[in-house]
Amino acid sequence: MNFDERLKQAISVDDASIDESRFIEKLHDTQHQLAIKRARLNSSLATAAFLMVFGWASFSQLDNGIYEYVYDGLYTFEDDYDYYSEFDSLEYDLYLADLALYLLDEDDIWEVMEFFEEVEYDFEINNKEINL
Amino acid sequence: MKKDHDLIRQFQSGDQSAFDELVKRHLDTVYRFFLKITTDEMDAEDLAQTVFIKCYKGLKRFRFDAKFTTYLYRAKVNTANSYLSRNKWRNFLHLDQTQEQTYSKDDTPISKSEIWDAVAKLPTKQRNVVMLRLNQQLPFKDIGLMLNMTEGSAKVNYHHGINKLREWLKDEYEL
Repeated sequence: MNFDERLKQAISVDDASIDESRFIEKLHDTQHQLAIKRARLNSSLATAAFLMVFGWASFSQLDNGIYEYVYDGLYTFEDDYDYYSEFDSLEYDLYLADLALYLLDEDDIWEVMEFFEEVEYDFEINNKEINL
Repeated sequence: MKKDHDLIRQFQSGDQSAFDELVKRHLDTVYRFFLKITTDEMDAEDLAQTVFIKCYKGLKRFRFDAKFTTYLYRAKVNTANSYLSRNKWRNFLHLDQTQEQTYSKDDTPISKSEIWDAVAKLPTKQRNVVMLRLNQQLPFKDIGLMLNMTEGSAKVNYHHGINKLREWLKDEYEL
Protein backbone atom coordinates (compact mmCIF):
# COMPACT_ATOMS: atom_id res chain seq x y z
CA MET A 1 0.00 0.00 0.00
CA ASN A 2 1.44 3.36 -0.93
CA PHE A 3 1.80 6.26 1.47
CA ASP A 4 -1.26 8.19 0.21
CA GLU A 5 -3.49 5.18 0.68
CA ARG A 6 -2.20 4.59 4.18
CA LEU A 7 -2.97 8.17 5.11
CA LYS A 8 -6.47 7.95 3.62
CA GLN A 9 -7.07 4.68 5.43
CA ALA A 10 -5.86 6.17 8.71
CA ILE A 11 -8.31 9.05 8.58
CA SER A 12 -11.26 7.19 7.08
CA VAL A 13 -14.53 7.13 8.95
CA ASP A 14 -16.72 4.08 8.55
CA ASP A 15 -20.00 5.00 10.10
CA ALA A 16 -20.78 8.49 11.07
CA SER A 17 -24.16 9.81 11.86
CA ILE A 18 -25.29 12.94 13.57
CA ASP A 19 -28.60 13.79 15.18
CA GLU A 20 -29.86 16.29 12.65
CA SER A 21 -32.68 17.80 14.69
CA ARG A 22 -30.50 18.22 17.80
CA PHE A 23 -27.79 19.85 15.68
CA ILE A 24 -30.26 22.32 14.16
CA GLU A 25 -31.74 23.06 17.56
CA LYS A 26 -28.26 23.86 18.86
CA LEU A 27 -27.65 25.99 15.78
CA HIS A 28 -30.83 27.96 16.47
CA ASP A 29 -29.65 28.59 20.03
CA THR A 30 -26.35 29.91 18.73
CA GLN A 31 -28.14 32.10 16.18
CA HIS A 32 -30.35 33.45 18.96
CA GLN A 33 -27.27 34.23 21.08
CA LEU A 34 -25.74 35.99 18.09
CA ALA A 35 -28.87 38.08 17.60
CA ILE A 36 -28.83 39.08 21.28
CA LYS A 37 -25.15 39.99 21.08
CA ARG A 38 -25.77 42.06 17.95
CA ALA A 39 -28.71 43.85 19.58
CA ARG A 40 -26.60 44.59 22.67
CA LEU A 41 -23.78 45.90 20.51
CA ASN A 42 -26.14 48.14 18.53
CA SER A 43 -27.73 49.45 21.70
CA SER A 44 -24.31 50.11 23.28
CA LEU A 45 -23.15 51.94 20.17
CA ALA A 46 -26.33 54.02 20.06
CA THR A 47 -25.96 54.91 23.75
CA ALA A 48 -22.30 55.79 23.30
CA ALA A 49 -23.13 57.98 20.29
CA PHE A 50 -25.94 59.72 22.20
CA LEU A 51 -23.69 60.33 25.22
CA MET A 52 -20.95 61.71 22.99
CA VAL A 53 -23.31 64.10 21.20
CA PHE A 54 -25.07 65.10 24.44
CA GLY A 55 -21.75 65.51 26.24
CA TRP A 56 -20.29 67.60 23.47
CA ALA A 57 -23.40 69.77 23.27
CA SER A 58 -23.37 70.31 27.05
CA PHE A 59 -19.68 71.09 27.05
CA SER A 60 -20.04 73.59 24.25
CA GLN A 61 -22.88 75.30 26.17
CA LEU A 62 -20.91 75.39 29.42
CA ASP A 63 -17.96 77.29 27.98
CA ASN A 64 -15.81 79.74 29.95
CA GLY A 65 -18.52 82.43 30.00
CA ILE A 66 -19.54 81.67 33.55
CA TYR A 67 -15.97 81.93 34.81
CA GLU A 68 -15.45 85.20 33.00
CA TYR A 69 -18.60 86.53 34.63
CA VAL A 70 -17.37 85.53 38.09
CA TYR A 71 -13.90 86.94 37.55
CA ASP A 72 -15.28 90.16 36.13
CA GLY A 73 -17.48 90.60 39.18
CA LEU A 74 -14.62 89.93 41.57
CA TYR A 75 -11.60 91.55 40.07
CA THR A 76 -12.48 94.24 37.59
CA PHE A 77 -13.56 97.76 38.21
CA GLU A 78 -16.42 98.49 35.91
CA ASP A 79 -17.99 101.88 35.55
CA ASP A 80 -19.63 103.46 32.58
CA TYR A 81 -19.45 106.95 33.98
CA ASP A 82 -17.43 109.09 31.60
CA TYR A 83 -15.67 111.61 33.79
CA TYR A 84 -13.67 113.25 31.03
CA SER A 85 -16.63 113.88 28.79
CA GLU A 86 -18.51 115.18 31.84
CA PHE A 87 -15.71 117.55 32.82
CA ASP A 88 -15.03 118.62 29.30
CA SER A 89 -18.59 119.34 28.47
CA LEU A 90 -19.55 122.97 28.12
CA GLU A 91 -22.78 122.32 29.98
CA TYR A 92 -20.89 121.12 33.06
CA ASP A 93 -18.57 124.13 33.00
CA LEU A 94 -21.53 126.47 32.82
CA TYR A 95 -23.15 124.57 35.67
CA LEU A 96 -20.03 125.03 37.81
CA ALA A 97 -19.85 128.74 36.91
CA ASP A 98 -23.52 129.19 37.87
CA LEU A 99 -22.89 127.49 41.22
CA ALA A 100 -19.82 129.69 41.84
CA LEU A 101 -21.74 132.86 40.96
CA TYR A 102 -24.57 131.80 43.27
CA LEU A 103 -22.10 131.34 46.12
CA LEU A 104 -20.51 134.75 45.32
CA ASP A 105 -23.93 136.33 45.47
CA GLU A 106 -24.16 134.98 48.99
CA ASP A 107 -20.94 136.98 49.78
CA ASP A 108 -19.07 133.99 51.01
CA ILE A 109 -15.81 133.84 49.11
CA TRP A 110 -14.46 130.99 51.26
CA GLU A 111 -17.37 128.88 50.40
CA VAL A 112 -16.64 129.44 46.72
CA MET A 113 -13.00 128.49 47.29
CA GLU A 114 -14.07 125.34 49.14
CA PHE A 115 -16.43 124.54 46.34
CA PHE A 116 -13.69 124.73 43.72
CA GLU A 117 -11.34 122.75 45.93
CA GLU A 118 -13.98 120.08 46.33
CA VAL A 119 -14.54 119.90 42.60
CA GLU A 120 -10.81 119.55 42.02
CA TYR A 121 -10.51 117.02 44.82
CA ASP A 122 -13.34 114.93 43.40
CA PHE A 123 -11.71 115.09 40.00
CA GLU A 124 -8.41 113.76 41.41
CA ILE A 125 -10.15 110.96 43.28
CA ASN A 126 -12.14 109.91 40.24
CA ASN A 127 -9.11 110.18 38.02
CA LYS A 128 -7.19 107.80 40.31
CA GLU A 129 -10.04 105.31 40.26
CA ILE A 130 -10.10 105.39 36.49
CA ASN A 131 -6.39 104.72 36.35
CA LEU A 132 -6.59 101.74 38.70
CA MET B 1 -35.90 19.66 -5.18
CA LYS B 2 -34.80 23.26 -4.86
CA LYS B 3 -31.25 24.24 -5.79
CA ASP B 4 -28.87 25.61 -3.18
CA HIS B 5 -28.99 29.06 -4.78
CA ASP B 6 -32.80 29.13 -4.55
CA LEU B 7 -32.63 28.29 -0.87
CA ILE B 8 -30.05 31.03 -0.32
CA ARG B 9 -32.30 33.54 -2.08
CA GLN B 10 -35.17 32.50 0.17
CA PHE B 11 -32.92 32.84 3.22
CA GLN B 12 -31.80 36.29 2.08
CA SER B 13 -35.42 37.36 1.87
CA GLY B 14 -35.91 36.31 5.50
CA ASP B 15 -36.98 32.67 5.36
CA GLN B 16 -35.14 30.91 8.21
CA SER B 17 -36.47 27.49 7.22
CA ALA B 18 -34.57 27.77 3.92
CA PHE B 19 -31.33 28.00 5.86
CA ASP B 20 -32.32 24.97 7.96
CA GLU B 21 -32.98 23.06 4.74
CA LEU B 22 -29.53 24.03 3.47
CA VAL B 23 -27.98 22.82 6.73
CA LYS B 24 -29.81 19.49 6.56
CA ARG B 25 -28.65 19.01 3.00
CA HIS B 26 -24.95 19.54 3.73
CA LEU B 27 -24.67 18.55 7.38
CA ASP B 28 -23.50 15.02 6.76
CA THR B 29 -20.61 15.97 4.45
CA VAL B 30 -19.48 18.77 6.77
CA TYR B 31 -19.66 16.54 9.82
CA ARG B 32 -17.72 13.71 8.12
CA PHE B 33 -15.09 16.20 6.92
CA PHE B 34 -14.35 17.22 10.50
CA LEU B 35 -14.70 13.72 11.87
CA LYS B 36 -11.73 12.77 9.70
CA ILE B 37 -9.67 15.60 11.15
CA THR B 38 -10.59 15.34 14.81
CA THR B 39 -10.38 12.42 17.17
CA ASP B 40 -13.54 13.42 19.00
CA GLU B 41 -17.13 13.44 17.74
CA MET B 42 -17.97 16.45 19.89
CA ASP B 43 -15.13 18.43 18.36
CA ALA B 44 -16.37 17.51 14.91
CA GLU B 45 -19.86 18.66 15.81
CA ASP B 46 -18.58 21.95 17.25
CA LEU B 47 -16.53 22.59 14.12
CA ALA B 48 -19.56 21.84 11.96
CA GLN B 49 -21.53 24.35 14.04
CA THR B 50 -18.79 26.93 13.47
CA VAL B 51 -18.97 26.38 9.72
CA PHE B 52 -22.74 26.79 9.58
CA ILE B 53 -22.62 29.88 11.77
CA LYS B 54 -20.07 31.34 9.34
CA CYS B 55 -22.49 30.53 6.54
CA TYR B 56 -25.38 32.06 8.47
CA LYS B 57 -23.44 35.30 8.80
CA GLY B 58 -21.96 35.26 5.30
CA LEU B 59 -24.86 34.06 3.17
CA LYS B 60 -26.75 37.30 3.70
CA ARG B 61 -24.12 38.87 1.42
CA PHE B 62 -23.73 35.89 -0.93
CA ARG B 63 -23.40 37.14 -4.53
CA PHE B 64 -24.11 33.90 -6.45
CA ASP B 65 -20.80 34.09 -8.33
CA ALA B 66 -19.86 30.58 -7.26
CA LYS B 67 -21.51 27.35 -6.18
CA PHE B 68 -22.55 27.09 -2.56
CA THR B 69 -20.44 23.94 -2.22
CA THR B 70 -17.31 25.94 -3.16
CA TYR B 71 -18.21 28.50 -0.51
CA LEU B 72 -18.79 25.69 1.98
CA TYR B 73 -15.43 24.03 1.16
CA ARG B 74 -13.63 27.31 1.82
CA ALA B 75 -15.43 27.71 5.12
CA LYS B 76 -14.53 24.13 6.04
CA VAL B 77 -10.87 24.56 5.10
CA ASN B 78 -10.57 27.83 7.05
CA THR B 79 -12.23 26.32 10.11
CA ALA B 80 -10.04 23.22 9.89
CA ASN B 81 -6.94 25.41 9.61
CA SER B 82 -7.91 27.30 12.75
CA TYR B 83 -8.52 24.02 14.56
CA LEU B 84 -5.19 22.53 13.45
CA SER B 85 -3.19 25.60 14.42
CA ARG B 86 -4.97 25.69 17.79
CA ASN B 87 -4.08 22.03 18.28
CA LYS B 88 -0.50 22.70 17.25
CA TRP B 89 -0.14 25.20 20.12
CA ARG B 90 -1.94 22.86 22.49
CA ASN B 91 0.51 20.09 21.65
CA PHE B 92 3.42 22.48 21.91
CA LEU B 93 2.33 23.46 25.41
CA HIS B 94 1.65 19.77 26.23
CA LEU B 95 -1.91 20.51 27.32
CA ASP B 96 -3.21 17.36 25.72
CA GLN B 97 -1.20 14.35 26.81
CA THR B 98 -3.45 11.59 25.50
CA GLN B 99 -1.67 9.57 22.84
CA GLU B 100 -3.18 7.03 20.53
CA GLN B 101 -1.56 3.61 20.38
CA THR B 102 0.96 3.48 17.55
CA TYR B 103 2.66 0.62 15.76
CA SER B 104 5.98 0.51 14.01
CA LYS B 105 5.20 -2.08 11.41
CA ASP B 106 4.53 -1.75 7.76
CA ASP B 107 0.87 -1.33 6.76
CA THR B 108 -0.26 -0.59 10.30
CA PRO B 109 -2.60 2.40 10.52
CA ILE B 110 -0.84 5.68 11.12
CA SER B 111 -2.16 7.65 14.05
CA LYS B 112 -4.78 10.14 12.87
CA SER B 113 -3.68 12.83 15.30
CA GLU B 114 -0.07 12.48 14.17
CA ILE B 115 -1.12 12.90 10.56
CA TRP B 116 -3.02 16.13 11.27
CA ASP B 117 -0.29 17.42 13.58
CA ALA B 118 2.10 16.96 10.68
CA VAL B 119 -0.35 18.52 8.19
CA ALA B 120 -0.65 21.53 10.51
CA LYS B 121 3.08 22.13 10.12
CA LEU B 122 2.86 22.39 6.31
CA PRO B 123 2.83 25.79 4.57
CA THR B 124 -0.71 27.08 3.99
CA LYS B 125 -1.11 26.18 0.30
CA GLN B 126 0.29 22.69 0.74
CA ARG B 127 -1.78 22.18 3.87
CA ASN B 128 -5.03 23.19 2.17
CA VAL B 129 -4.42 20.98 -0.88
CA VAL B 130 -3.36 17.98 1.21
CA MET B 131 -6.35 18.45 3.50
CA LEU B 132 -8.86 18.48 0.65
CA ARG B 133 -7.20 15.65 -1.24
CA LEU B 134 -6.81 13.33 1.74
CA ASN B 135 -10.11 14.17 3.34
CA GLN B 136 -12.44 14.46 0.38
CA GLN B 137 -10.48 12.69 -2.39
CA LEU B 138 -11.33 15.59 -4.67
CA PRO B 139 -9.80 15.84 -8.16
CA PHE B 140 -6.95 18.36 -8.44
CA LYS B 141 -9.02 20.42 -10.87
CA ASP B 142 -11.75 20.96 -8.26
CA ILE B 143 -9.20 21.62 -5.52
CA GLY B 144 -7.59 24.25 -7.75
CA LEU B 145 -10.98 25.92 -8.32
CA MET B 146 -11.75 25.97 -4.62
CA LEU B 147 -8.40 27.33 -3.57
CA ASN B 148 -7.95 29.79 -6.45
CA MET B 149 -5.01 28.00 -8.05
CA THR B 150 -4.38 26.05 -11.24
CA GLU B 151 -4.68 22.29 -11.43
CA GLY B 152 -0.90 22.04 -11.93
CA SER B 153 -0.21 24.16 -8.89
CA ALA B 154 -2.55 21.99 -6.81
CA LYS B 155 -0.67 18.86 -7.96
CA VAL B 156 2.73 20.36 -7.19
CA ASN B 157 1.63 21.55 -3.76
CA TYR B 158 0.18 18.15 -2.97
CA HIS B 159 3.35 16.39 -4.09
CA HIS B 160 5.55 18.62 -1.91
CA GLY B 161 3.18 18.32 1.04
CA ILE B 162 2.99 14.53 0.90
CA ASN B 163 6.76 14.25 0.61
CA LYS B 164 7.19 16.36 3.73
CA LEU B 165 4.64 14.26 5.62
CA ARG B 166 6.49 11.11 4.60
CA GLU B 167 9.75 12.64 5.76
CA TRP B 168 8.31 13.64 9.13
CA LEU B 169 6.47 10.36 9.78
CA LYS B 170 9.10 7.94 8.51
CA ASP B 171 10.89 7.73 11.86
CA GLU B 172 7.85 6.24 13.56
CA TYR B 173 6.47 4.15 10.72
CA GLU B 174 8.10 2.04 8.06
CA LEU B 175 7.43 4.19 5.01
